[in-house]
Order: sequence, then C-alpha cells, then structure tokens
Amino acid sequence: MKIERKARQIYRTTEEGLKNLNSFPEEELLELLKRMGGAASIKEIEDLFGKERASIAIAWARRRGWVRIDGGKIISIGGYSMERYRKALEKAVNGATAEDLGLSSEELAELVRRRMLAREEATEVIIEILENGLKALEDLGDLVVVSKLTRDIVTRKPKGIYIKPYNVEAEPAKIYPAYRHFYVDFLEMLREIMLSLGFDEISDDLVVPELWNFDVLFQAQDHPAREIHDTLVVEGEEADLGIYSDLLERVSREHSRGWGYKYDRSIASRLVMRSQTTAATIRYLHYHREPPVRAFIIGRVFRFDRIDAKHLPEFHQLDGIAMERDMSLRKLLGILTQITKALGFREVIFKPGYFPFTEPSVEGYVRIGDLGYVEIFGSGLFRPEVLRMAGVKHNVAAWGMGVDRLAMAYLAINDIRELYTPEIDRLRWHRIASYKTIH
Amino acid sequence: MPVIRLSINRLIKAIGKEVSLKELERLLMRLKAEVEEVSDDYISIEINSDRLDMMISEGVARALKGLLEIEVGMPRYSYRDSGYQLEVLDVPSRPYIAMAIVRGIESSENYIEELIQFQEKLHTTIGRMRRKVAIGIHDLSKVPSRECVYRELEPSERLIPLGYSRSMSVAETLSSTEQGRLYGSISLRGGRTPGIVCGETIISMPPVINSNITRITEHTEDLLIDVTGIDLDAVIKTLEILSTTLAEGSRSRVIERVLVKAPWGVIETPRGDARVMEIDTDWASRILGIEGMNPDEMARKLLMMRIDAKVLDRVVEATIPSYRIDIIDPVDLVEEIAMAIDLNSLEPEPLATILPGKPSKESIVRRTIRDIMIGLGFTEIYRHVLTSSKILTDLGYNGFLRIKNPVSSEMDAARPSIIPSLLETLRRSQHSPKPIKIFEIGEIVTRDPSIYTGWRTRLSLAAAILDYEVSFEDIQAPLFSLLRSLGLEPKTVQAKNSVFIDGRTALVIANNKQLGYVGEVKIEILDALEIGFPVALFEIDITKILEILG
Repeated sequence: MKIERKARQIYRTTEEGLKNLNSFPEEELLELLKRMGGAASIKEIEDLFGKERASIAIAWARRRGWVRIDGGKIISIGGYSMERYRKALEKAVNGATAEDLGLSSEELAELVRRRMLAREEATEVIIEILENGLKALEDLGDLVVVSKLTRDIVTRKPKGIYIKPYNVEAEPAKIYPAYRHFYVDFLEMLREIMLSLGFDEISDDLVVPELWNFDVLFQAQDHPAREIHDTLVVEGEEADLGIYSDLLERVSREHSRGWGYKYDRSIASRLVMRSQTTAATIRYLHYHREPPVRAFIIGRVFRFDRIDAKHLPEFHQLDGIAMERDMSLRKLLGILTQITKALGFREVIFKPGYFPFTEPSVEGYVRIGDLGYVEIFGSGLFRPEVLRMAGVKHNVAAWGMGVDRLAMAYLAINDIRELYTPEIDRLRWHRIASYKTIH
Repeated sequence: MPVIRLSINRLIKAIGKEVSLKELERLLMRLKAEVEEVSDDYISIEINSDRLDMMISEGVARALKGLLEIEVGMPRYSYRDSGYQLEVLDVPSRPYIAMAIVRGIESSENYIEELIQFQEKLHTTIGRMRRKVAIGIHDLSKVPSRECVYRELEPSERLIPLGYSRSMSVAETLSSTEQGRLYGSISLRGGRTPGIVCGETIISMPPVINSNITRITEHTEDLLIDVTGIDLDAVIKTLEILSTTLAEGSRSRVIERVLVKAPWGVIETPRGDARVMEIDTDWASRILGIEGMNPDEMARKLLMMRIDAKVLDRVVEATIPSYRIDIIDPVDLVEEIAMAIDLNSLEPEPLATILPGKPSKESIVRRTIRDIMIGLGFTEIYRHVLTSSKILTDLGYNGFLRIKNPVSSEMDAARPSIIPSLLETLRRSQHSPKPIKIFEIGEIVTRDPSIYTGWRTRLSLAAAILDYEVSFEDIQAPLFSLLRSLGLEPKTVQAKNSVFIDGRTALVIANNKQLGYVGEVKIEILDALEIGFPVALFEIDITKILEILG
C-alpha cells in the first residue's frame, strides 16, 4: 500500500452551535419583542430565556443594531433572518470546509468566536493499493467487508465477513419526537381532577340561544353583558325555541316577577357564541333534576375582548355543578377547597361576590408566586329563580374558573396567545418547560 | 366592576372611628369590596355592582359601622313634606321623574368630587349610561321657585348649561356642549327634549345636563335631587338610594318629600318604605350548612348588615331599608348572614366521596385518537375555533358561521373545518426542521337545519404532513393505521374537493359512512397561503366515528 496524508482545515458544529440550529438567541429575542408589543424589560426576557441566554441574545441583538436599551427596557428596532448562518451550522454538523459553508470570512469568524463552530485540523488519508496488495486481497478469497447489517446477513450468517467499525462518536442526524400539546395536557389534568372528585363530564354546543347563555341564568334582558361590546353575536337566523315552550313559560314568569319588565322572547332566541360554560351546566341541570348531580365541563367560550397579551376573544372555562338534597354554602366551600388542594395550592381565601344567577355568591382566591392573590373561582348556590326556571327542587352549588389564566400562572406564561401558538418550535419549547410543572 | 376614589379623611370621619388600613381591607372584603390603591389622602375601592348604596363614603361607612357594631340595625331617617311641587306633563321620550330634598349637608371640595362620582357610578350601572335613569343634583337655595314643571323644551328656549357662563338655546346646548353630543340623542323627540322648569327658569335638561344656576358649591347646604327615566321602578329605586345615602351624611338626617303630580299618578317621593321579609331559620341554617344556627345569632348578624331583625320563634322577621334594592328574595338575606359571619371563618365541608366521574364520550375517543396520532409521529397543535372568513373563502368554504360583531377580521367566523388551522400553522412553521407532521382534534361549527339553533358543533380531527417531497400515501398510510386502530374498516374512493388536487383527492369511508377527505393540497392554495412546500392532509369527523362506535 502507498499511504499519503494531506493536512486540511475543517469546521465542525459545537454543542453550542447545535442549540442554535433552529434560531439564534437574538432572533428569538426579536420575535419575543414583537409579540410583547415591541418592548420588554430585561427581567422579563431573563425569566423566559434564562439569564445566560438572555445576555447573549441582548448583546448580539445590540451589536447588530436590532434593539436599543432605554430605561431598563429592550426596544425592538427590527432585524433580519440568520438563516444563512443556521444553514452553515447544519452543514458543519459532520464537518465541512470553509468553502462548503458559504460564509464570508467575517461571518465565519463570528461563529467561531461565539463557539458555535470549532476549527479542526483534519488529515485526509489517501490509500493506494499497489500490485502486491491486490494480489494479497485475492488470496483472502471470500472475506466480505460489511458496513450495514442486513436481514440476509443475519439469517444466512455467511462465513468470512468483516463488519467495518463505525464512527460511534460522530453527531447523528437531528430528529424530533412528536409532542402532545402542553395546554391540552393542562386541560386533561383539570379533567382528571374533576373526574376523581366524582363529577361527570359533559359537552355542549358552542352556538347557543341567549335563553341558555343568559335568560335561564336570570341575567336581566337589558344586562350590559348581552350587548355587542361583550358577547359575540351570530349572523343570520335566530333559534327556534318551540321545543322549549314550557321552559320559556317559567323563564318569562321569573323574569317578569324578578326584574319587573315584560319578558321578550325574541331576545331569548338570539344566537350567540357561548360566553360562559354555565350555559352548558344549566342546560344539563334542566335535563337532570334529581339529586345527586355532579357534572362539569371544560370548554371554549367567546367574548368581545380585544386581542392583547391578557385577552383573546376565545378562551376556556371550567364550570361545575353539584346538586344534593342538603347542598349548603359550607359544602360549596368544601368543593372549592378540594379542587384548590388538588391543583396544588395550599390555601384558598373566600370573598362574597355577586353573580346574577347565584346567591349566596362566593369568589375564591389563591396565592400564585409573585402575582399575589389571584381570583380563580366565581361560585355560589343557584338562586331560587334559577332553580325554578330549570325545574329543580334542591339546592345546587355552581362554580366557574377561567382556565387560560390559571394555565398561564401554572406554566409561567405571560402572553395568553402562547397557549394557541401556530409555531411548532414554540410548542417544543413549552412542551419541555411544562413537563416540570404538570408532571 | 365600578371603582370609586374616596377621601380617606372623609371616610374615617363618616365611620366615626380610627380603623387601620389592614382592618379596613379585611372588612371591605366581607362587603364584596376590594381596596385597589391607597395614596396619602385617597383610597380607591372596587365596589360590587349590586351595592349601589356604597358608591360614596357615606354609604361605605354606613355598612362598615354595622360590621364594626358601632351602629347596628336599619338606619333611621325622618321624612317630612317640603312644600315643593312638581307638575309632570306628557314627556313621551322620558315619562318618569321623582324628586327629593336633603338638608344640612357638609359640602367641601372632596364632598363635591364624591357626589359627582356617586352620580356617575349610578349612571353607568342602574342608569344604563343615562338611557334608563339619569340624575340631577341641585343647590336647593338657588332653585328659583317651589313650583316646578317637567315638560318637553322647545329648541329655542334658553338656559346656561352647567360649566358655561353664557346663555344658549336648547338646540345649541345639544349640538355644541360635550354632554349634549354624548347624551343629547337619548330622549330627543322631534327637536324637543325633556326639561325641568322651576318658575320661569330651566334648572335641568335630563338626561343631558343641568343648568349652571343651581350649581353645587362648597357653600351648598341643602340639595334638590331629580331622577328621570324610562322605567318608573328604576327611577324610584335610584332616588331611594340617593336620598338615604346623602341624608346619612347630613346633620339632621331629614329627607323632605316632593309632591309629584303626573299623568301616570300622583305620588310623594321619596317613600323611604322599608320592606319586611321573613326567613325560616331552619331553612337558612340548611343553606349555610350550619346545623341548628340560633335564631338570635341570625338576627344579630342581620343587624350587623344594617337590617332590622326580630325573632319570632323559628322565624326571623327582617326589615330591609329602602336603599338595599339588591335584596329581593329571602336567600339574599342568607347571603347577608354569611357575610356577617365572614366566609373565611365558615368551615368548608368536603363532599362525600363517591365513585369517580364519567368522562364524556367525546373525551374518551379524543384521548384515544390523540395517543394514536402521537404514536404515528404527529405533533399536536391547538388553535382557535374563530378564524378569518377571508381564509375560509379562499379555501372554497361557504355557508360557514359569521360573527355579526367581530373583534378583528382575523377572527370573524367559526371554522367549519380544522384544515384552515393546520394550514395557518404550517405557513408559520414551514421553516422548522422537516418533515413537519401535525394534527389537531377540536370543535368545528357546521350548518345543520335539523337542530333548533341551526348550527351544530362537531368534533373533528385533521392531520397534515409538510416536507421537501410528499406523496398521497404518506398521509393515507397513517390515516388507515389510525382508523384500523379504532377497529374500523377504512377505504378511500376517488373524489373532488376544493382544497385538494384533482386526481389526488379521496373520500374517506369506514363502515359505510363518509368520514372526511384525504389528499394533496392544491398548489394555488399553498401559493395563496405562502406555503413553499408540498402538503398532504386528511380530515375526519370524530362525531361520526362516535356514532359508528356507539
């Protein structure tokens, strides 16, 4: 054999470089700022990125002139995609020469300086088998060199094979697992808690007449919540309430007596996007009038809310009801305490409240980290008017929870839109972060 | 919920006892109120909208004095005739009016601030932005006559609107003052608008603006209150709240009645009538969950809530002051008792354990499908039901649900399919490492004339693959795998669909039911959505699968 060695310089992606294959810290920073309305405090960024990554992101975004710092706030100016850099890192995963990477010498120097690429001295070995060697190979006869095992080899077990050693230390190709959605997992966790407390799960339509969304819940027909700046109204025809004429009779009686107006059936038949999941629990109660009843729903609700970090026109609520022959205020407090404990909060504080359909009404607060006391329950015993309209003879405890806000507090997310993100990379990021809290 | 800003000095003076901020916070919480912010001289408190009588220091103090047991039971005010008369003519756009006089108030800069705030909070709550009820408050000494008339004003009649120094015509007041522009149209009828005229002078133009003549100052001693509206009951109730609460802070606690002679009746207002309601103490104990609560104890709790209470064997007779318009049923009194006890000192009673609850059928199938899809290597996404009607139209959907009052054009329709949600996600994520395989299980809303609302909510599953190259079979194989895992016998039949390429579209059928479509997405659609990679996807109706599985 004749062996010839040639020294060459190659670049290889480092551990640090692998972390940035999808996006550079400064790109994520810019994306984050965009989502937070163009500016964020250093603390907020550190909370989301971790201290180290945050300082890298800020430093590089500044150096590129993408952001400026003003009074402790990072303000976005705007940037560009680092895709070319990332492509180069991808190519260098198994080692590549400077020409292969297609970067300028300054760009290459930056990646080396940022320890994303490592320069290596490689040696190219050229082996030439000379005449004597070829003769020797012939003498070896049937010896087969194998680089990949096949079923054929495993089952036939031929004699004289040579399994070539594999470079077991090389970085493999990057693949990703399929993930469950972190927020759906959170909803599943709530569902498990409610089931374990003996509540049956119900589901119902998203489009409902005001009859279920408001009237049966004793919300006055001129209540501001019914107006178009509060509830999303469906275009087109109204509901045909013919099947509910008995119910309408009772509703009309209670409204006229309680609110002192002439009840208007055309308002009851207006179609809206469900604005509270109590619309579903009260409907269930209407069909299940004998105690014991324990039921809950976790579902989407809709409101006329402007879109920002805290509001969306579509979000989730959990609503529950419990009817027993001797349902009481103390029992209601018992249910709320049980749920709070199951969620992992140590204490819950109660405050009297007001809801049109419950009396007494109770709000429940829990302490969440830096946020202090946060309202998580609206609850109460259904008013006698509501019970009479639903045709129920026993007291019913009812409560509702805003699920999105709770999830945000639980998962340390400060933008509600993250729960519904259309970006798969964000899903991966949240998935990993939420394992720590949900599991 | 309304937030009021009160002078701490005035509040403490009204309570008549030094109360620490912490104590105040705790007590207010028991009255459904929450301290929002405290500065040196002011405190901001969120008041529950059912306690309209607590929108000013006097009202808050009245309630607190009960909890502190400084003053318990129903507050007493004496009523007498004022000698003032109001003649009501036909005012079709705003027929109802009532008046009251409160004497001996202690006016100050802070008092006037809180008075205006009280008025505004009532306007936005029970007043429904002045449409249903509007309030005018005047310095009685400046009202030019004891004989007033409520009638429609001609556009040419003149007054000096509050805050102005020159006289204007009614028409000009409506068109050129800020209040006129905001509220001028509420009770306007052919150019005429309601007015209160005392002697020859217009003192108010409800619901728009008062006249400057009767303006309240720091020297004001006596108040004339007018309440107008389109609902007599709400007008009367508002006047009860105003007159008693303002009398609470007056030196004499005297309320004087005004004789109102109207086409709808002759009454003296305000009435100040207390209402009597009986509570069965056993029933109340059961609701509270406190077995055998002593009737005397219950009565004491009601007294703390400023409600008179007399024990008659197993019944407590409660006498409710006229300003507590929120109490309409004995159960409201039970809540009052709970508030006096303090909810946090009631011991929660856990529910008896029974068997675990049943998940809904939808949930069971949903969970199973979710597990299978993840096992097939698809990542779960979760998006909104609300979507953009423009995207739906671009994808060839029609007859979907539109929102009459959308918040944004991005969310002005309900999705009739999950495909738009998947494609939007793919557009936003197309530069992630490939292959991208995603799915969503979620609600869709479709037209269905057979149900009473005309719209049915269905559960649907859609899954998609995006890669440098994608074939029909790449998506068909996992679809078949899923359906077979559910115990169904799937087949695909050549079909046409607006989303998919002709010749690469199939109807998905299992157990003789059409479940949905599978295919490769049209290039025009990818182009319109700015997706630069081929996509294959399927969507099937889980509600139908539930029907098959039974």
